Amino acid sequence: MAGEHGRVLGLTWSERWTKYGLAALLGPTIVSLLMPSLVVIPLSLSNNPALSWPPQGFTLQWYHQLFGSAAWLASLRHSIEVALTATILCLLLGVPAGLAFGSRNWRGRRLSLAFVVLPLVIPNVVLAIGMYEVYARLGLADLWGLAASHFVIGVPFVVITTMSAAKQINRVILLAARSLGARPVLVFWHVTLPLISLGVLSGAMFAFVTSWDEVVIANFLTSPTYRTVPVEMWSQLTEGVDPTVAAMAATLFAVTTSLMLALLFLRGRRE
Amino acid sequence: MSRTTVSSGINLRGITKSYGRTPILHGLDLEVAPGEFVTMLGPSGSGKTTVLKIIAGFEQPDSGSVLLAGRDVTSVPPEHRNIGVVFQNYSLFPHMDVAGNVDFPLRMRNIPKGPRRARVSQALARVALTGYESHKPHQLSGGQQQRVAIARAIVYEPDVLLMDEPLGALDRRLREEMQLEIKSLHEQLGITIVYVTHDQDEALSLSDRIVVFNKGRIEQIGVPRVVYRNPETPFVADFFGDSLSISAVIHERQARLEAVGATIELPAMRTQAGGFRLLWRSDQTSICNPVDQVRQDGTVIIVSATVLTSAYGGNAMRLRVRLVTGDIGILTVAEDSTLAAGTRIGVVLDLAIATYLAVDRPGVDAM
Repeated sequence: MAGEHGRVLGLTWSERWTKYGLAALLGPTIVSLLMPSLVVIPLSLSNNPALSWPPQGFTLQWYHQLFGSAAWLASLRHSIEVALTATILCLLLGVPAGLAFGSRNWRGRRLSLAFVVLPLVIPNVVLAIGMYEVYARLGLADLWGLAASHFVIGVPFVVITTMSAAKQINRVILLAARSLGARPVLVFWHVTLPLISLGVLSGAMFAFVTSWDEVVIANFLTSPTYRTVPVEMWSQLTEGVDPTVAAMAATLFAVTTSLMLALLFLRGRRE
Repeated sequence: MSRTTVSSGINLRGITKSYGRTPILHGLDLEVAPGEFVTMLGPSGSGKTTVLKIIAGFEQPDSGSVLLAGRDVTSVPPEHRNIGVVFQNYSLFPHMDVAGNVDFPLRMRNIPKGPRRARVSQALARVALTGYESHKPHQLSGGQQQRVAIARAIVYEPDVLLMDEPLGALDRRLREEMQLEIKSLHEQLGITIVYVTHDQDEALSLSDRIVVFNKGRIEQIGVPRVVYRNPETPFVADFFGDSLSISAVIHERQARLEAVGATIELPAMRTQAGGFRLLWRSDQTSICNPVDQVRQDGTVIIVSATVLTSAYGGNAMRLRVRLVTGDIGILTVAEDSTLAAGTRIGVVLDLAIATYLAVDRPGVDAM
C-alpha cells in the first residue's frame, strides 16, 4: 500500500537520490553481515584437512565424520535439550509477564521492565561468573544449570515481543468479548492468545536461538561430559582444527536460517 | 429464533460514579420500558457513555443499582447479563472471519453446531451481509464492519441492545442510511435499545424517548418532538440546533424588554414572574420588512433586527441576526433569499408557540 502511494504521488529528485543512496549502502551491509557465516560452507566441503582458505576440491567426508562422531552427536542432543527447556521456561514466565507489561500501566512497571531486560545489556561473561557461583551452590549444573541461565538471557525477548503484541490489542475488543458471553479465561483463550501468538512465537524463536549459539556461559556451567554444540566447537578449535567444525557451523547456520525464514513466512501469511 | 416474550426493561436507581475525585454521575434514576428505543444524548463528558458502561457491566457504580428485567445485576459480570453491545468501531475480532465473529457468542453459550450455523446466516441476512461469511474484518468497509457488529450483538437474542455511538465513525450519507436500518431492525425485533450519541439529529430520528445529559445529570427526558419543541432548560434548547430567543422580565401578562424599554402583552397569564428567555426554533420564525423597534399585533410580535451573517445551506438559508433587543439568534429563510450582512429586517414571532425558559439572572445582559 505504502509503495503504491509513493508511486502515485511521484518522488522528487532528492527523494529518489536518497532511495538510490540507501540501496547502494544496503548491498555492502548485507554482504558484510552474511559473508563470515557463508564462508564456512565452502570450507566444510574442502578437501584440505587444515581448515584454511581457499578451499580445495570437494568432499562430504567432514559431514560423514560429524554425524559419525559420538561426541558431536551428544553435543547436538545436549544443545537441543537445553534450548528447548530454556525456551519453555521463557514462555511459561515470559508470556504472562509480557501481558502484564503490555496491557496496562501499573506502579513500578517501567522499573520492573528495566530489570527484566537487564540481561540483554550485561556482558554474558559477567553473568556467567555470577551464575557459576550461585548455581554451583544450588547444585544446578549441566542441563538444568544451562537451561536456567539461558532462560535468564532469553526471557527478555519473549517479554518484549509479547508486550508489543499485547499493546496492539484494542481493549474494546476484549470488552466486546465479555459482553458476548465470554468469561475472562475464555477471552484470553479465544481472543488474546490468538492475537499475541505471532509475537510469542518470534520471542520463542529468539530465545531458542540465543540458547542455541551461547558459548560463554555454557563454557562455565558445563562439565566435560555435558557439552553443547558451541562448547564442543570451541574446544575443538582450541585443540586442533579440522573442517568438521566448519561442517557443524554450516549445519547450525542452515538450522537457524530456516527457523528465521519459517517465521518470516508465517508473518507474511498472517498479514 | 422466534421468541414470543417481549424484550426486557432496564431500571437504574440512584447511580453515582466518580473517577478518582471527579464526580461523573450524581444519583441518576432512569427507567427504560421493554422494547423501548431510548437515546442518551449529550456533549462529550456529560456521563452518557458511563451510564452505558454501567448497564453493560464494564463499570461498577459507586452506589445505586442496575436492574435488567427486574433482576438486580449490579454485581453481575458482563458475560452473565445477556446484553448486546455495539461499539463505535473496531470491535470485531480481527483474527476471525465474519461468520466466526457472529458465531462467537453462540459458541460461548455452548449451542450445538447445526442450529448455530442457521442462526449465523439468519443474522447476517438481517444486516444484508449474506455471502460475506468468510471475509476478514479488514476486508470490509466501516459500514459493513458495523453491520457485522450488529449481527454479532443480536444473534443470541440479548435482553437489551446497547449502542455506543455506533455510527460515529461513518460519513454522513452512510450514517443516515444506517440510521434507517437500525430503526427498522428495532421495529422488527422489538428489542430494548439504549443508544448513545452526541448527534441530536440521530437522536431525534431514531428514538422513542430522548434523555438529555449535561454534566452527569439528566436535563430532560421526553419524546423527540417535546424535547425539540418544548425544551425545559436553556441547555436543552441550545443543544438541539438553531433557535432564536428574546430576554424578557415577565410579570403576569406583561413581558418587559429592558433593552428597548418596550412592554409586550402575553397571550396568557404566567404564574411565575422573573427573568425569562422566550424561545423559538429557527423554522418557527419568519421575516418581513423592517419595523421601528418592536410592534405587537395580537399574539404576533415583529422585532427589528440586523443580519450579521448569511450562510447557504442547500435546502434553506441560515441567517445569524442581532435583534434590536441585543439578543443574537439564528433563523432560516427561503433558499433563494438574497439578504446580505448588514441588511435590516423585521422578525415575526408568535408568542402563542414560544417556549418560556426561566433564567436565573433577571433582565438582559449589559451590552
